[in-house]
This record gives sequence, structure tokens and C-alpha cells, in this order.
Amino acid sequence: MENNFSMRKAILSLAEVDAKAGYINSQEYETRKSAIETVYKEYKHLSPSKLREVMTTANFNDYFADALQRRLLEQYQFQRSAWQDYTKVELVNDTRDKKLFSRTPFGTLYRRGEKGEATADGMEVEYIEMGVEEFTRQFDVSIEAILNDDLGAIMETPRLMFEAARRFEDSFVSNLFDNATSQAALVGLGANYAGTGRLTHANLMIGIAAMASRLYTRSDGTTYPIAVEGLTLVIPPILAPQAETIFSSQLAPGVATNDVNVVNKYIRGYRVDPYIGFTAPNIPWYLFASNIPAVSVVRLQAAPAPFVVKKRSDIESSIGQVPAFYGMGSFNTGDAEWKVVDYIGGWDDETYAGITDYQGVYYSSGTTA
Amino acid sequence: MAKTNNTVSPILPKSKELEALLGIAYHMDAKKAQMIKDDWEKNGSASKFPYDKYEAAEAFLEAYNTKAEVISKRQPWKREK
Repeated sequence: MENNFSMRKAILSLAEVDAKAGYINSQEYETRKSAIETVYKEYKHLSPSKLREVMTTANFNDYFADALQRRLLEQYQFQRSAWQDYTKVELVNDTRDKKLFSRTPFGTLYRRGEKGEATADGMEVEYIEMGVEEFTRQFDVSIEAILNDDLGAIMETPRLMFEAARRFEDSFVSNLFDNATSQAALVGLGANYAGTGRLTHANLMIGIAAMASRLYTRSDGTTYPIAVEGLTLVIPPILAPQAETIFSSQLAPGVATNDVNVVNKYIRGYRVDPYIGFTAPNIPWYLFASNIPAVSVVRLQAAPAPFVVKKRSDIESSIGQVPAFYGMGSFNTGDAEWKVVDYIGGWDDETYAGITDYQGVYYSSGTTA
Repeated sequence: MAKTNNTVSPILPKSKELEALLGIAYHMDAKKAQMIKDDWEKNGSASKFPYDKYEAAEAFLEAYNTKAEVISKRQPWKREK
């Protein structure tokens, strides 16, 4: 009985507060007061229909408006890239440089005359150095924010930070090859490495032909055609419908010669990189060979993917039960802290930036029809 | 590896090599492309060449006379050593 009395007082005081604050007028206040009195006086004798009448759901809106009228919107879904399909991951044990060695191929054979000796051949070795760096971001919230977070937004922090790290990786890898320095280097290598055409069937065929005619020239002047296989087209999202049209067409699209579309025989497919920079109408695209790693992405062996950590709370219970929300944060400030960490890197050459082997890539600036 | 860039002889605009490379896709050479373009500009739709040939000829000549450009405004990542 005592409890019922206190509860009645409490609910009546809510109505009173609303009336004083001007949220409801005096008539509405009287209606509510009367309904509450009726429930508490006659609840034992109330028929279900009478109960429904006094406990009208219209009042719920007033009492619980803030709690009921809030909803956490989903964040935007962000575009991802599939750089793992056309780059090469190099693992390192620590933050020191990793050396990638390459050898020059042996030269051609020469006829040996009677009693003559075989002509000596040589091999040159050179290397490039690359490594990782640590990239991080921290996020902290107060104990008050955790307590007031009835929508569970803060508890999503680790997942959201992890997703942010994935987006960072996509952008980082994209920047290894899609940057002003790399593009300038490829342009300087000539039309076999950098074309001008927009993404059309004809220009894609030029790219395929350019990659198929790559030569390796030894220092003694002998040249060998390089095998460039399993190409992947890498494009910004705006070109995806165009790429789909080209890859899905039975006949060469855009020409009236009834040529069979053979693009699929040379190009394994296309991948969208949402971070490729462009200024319409000049929309660049790239071809990557699968057998020549053109872009090396360096990862730490012990941490080949991003991870999220939370600072362990230094609070422990002394007397009484520590509420869960209170046990999350720091003893001094009450703050809870998360950190996302990613070890990633590549090559940072003055000339090529992150392109470790230009023989495995073709760039088109998309500046001509 | 990228350091061996002395092995490459660049194919330059207006070169025979570029003409041959473009010819693979466009089925024409610079002379024919110019002829088709001139004919269209002189006669318009009364030209003896279909419009798609004119478009191809224009694309061919644009690609033949220019070289690729740097589009990206992004600066590359530089490692702190």
C-alpha cells in the first residue's frame, strides 16, 4: 500500500511539473490527475475496458516523448576497394626497411668456335627499400556520455573505428599509385605506359596492346619481350557502368565493324577504387598485371590488419557493486578510451612513389575521346 | 623493379610507333584519320564516311597528337625515416 501511495505521488508530481512548465494546460492537468486518482482508487474494481479508458495511450507520448521519439540512424555505407586483388602484400617483421632484390636476366647465347671458351655472362642485382608506419586514431568519452547513451551508440565505437581504418587503408593503397608523382613517371615512360583515351573499348584495346609489347632491355642492348598476364582494370566508381557495358558486350561496343569483343580474354575483370582522383571529363583508369606486382603494400607480420584496443579500466570495487557503466572508464576522469591501430606502408620513391614495378601497370589519363 | 628505367625508350606523340599502337584499336593510320576528319568537316552528313568513322578518326588524331597528362592532385605518401 505504501509503495502504491508513493508511486501515485510520483506520477501526480510528473503531471504537476508538466503543468508548471507550461507543457500542458490546466484542463489537461485535471484530466490526468483524475485518471491517475481513478486508477489508484479503483484499480481493484476496474474492468479492462474502464482501465483502457483511464490509461489512454495518448498520455504515454507526453510522459515518455523523449525516450520514445529517438532513434539512432544508421551511418552511411561507404564504398570499399578491392586492392588486395591487384597489389602484392609484402610482410615485414618490424619497422626497419625491407629490401626487395631484383636480378637482370641472362643474355643471349653466342656460338662457340672450336677450342674457344663460352662467353661470360653477368647478372646485376639491385634493390629497393620499403617499410611500414604506424597509423592510429583515438576516441574517448566521458562516463556521463556512456550513462546517457541509451541508444547504444558508444558501444558501437570499436566497430566504427575498425571500419574507419579499413577506409583509411583503401585510400592509402590507392594513393600509392594514384598520385601526381606516379602519374608523371608513367607519362614520362611514353605511350606504352601511359595513354590518353577515356574508357572505351578501343582505348582498352590500346592499353592491352601497350602492355603486351613491354620490353626488357639489358645493358648490353639485347631486348626481351616481357610476359604481362592476367590484367585487371582499376577504375573510379563513375566508370563502372561503362566498364560493365564493355565487359558484357558480345561484340566490340562503339564500333560498327561487328568485331568480336575479346577484352575478357585479356582482362580478368574490373575493380572499383573509390579514391582515384579525377576532374571530369578527364577520368583516369589503370590496368594492372597479375604476374608483375606493380604496387607492393607492406604489412607488419604480427598485425596484417587494423585492430582496435580499449584502455583497461583501473577501477575496482571496494564496497558495494560497481555499476557496469562506471567500471568502463578511468579512475581519475571517468573517461573510457579506444584506439585503432594500423601498420601499413609501401615504397616512397622520389620518381615512382609507390609503384614498385612500372612494367606491371598502364595508366590512361582519360583526356581524349 | 622500377629503378631500371634506363631500359625504356618512350613512345612519343606523332611517332610511327604510336601510330601503329593506335592503329590496332582504330583500324586506321594518321593519314586516313586526317582524310576522314577533313571530309566530314567539309561535307558534314553528306560525307562518304559514316559518322562513327569520323568519331574514331577524331579520337585517333587526338590520341596521336597528345600525350597522357597528370590528373591526380594527390601527393604521394612519404615515409618518415
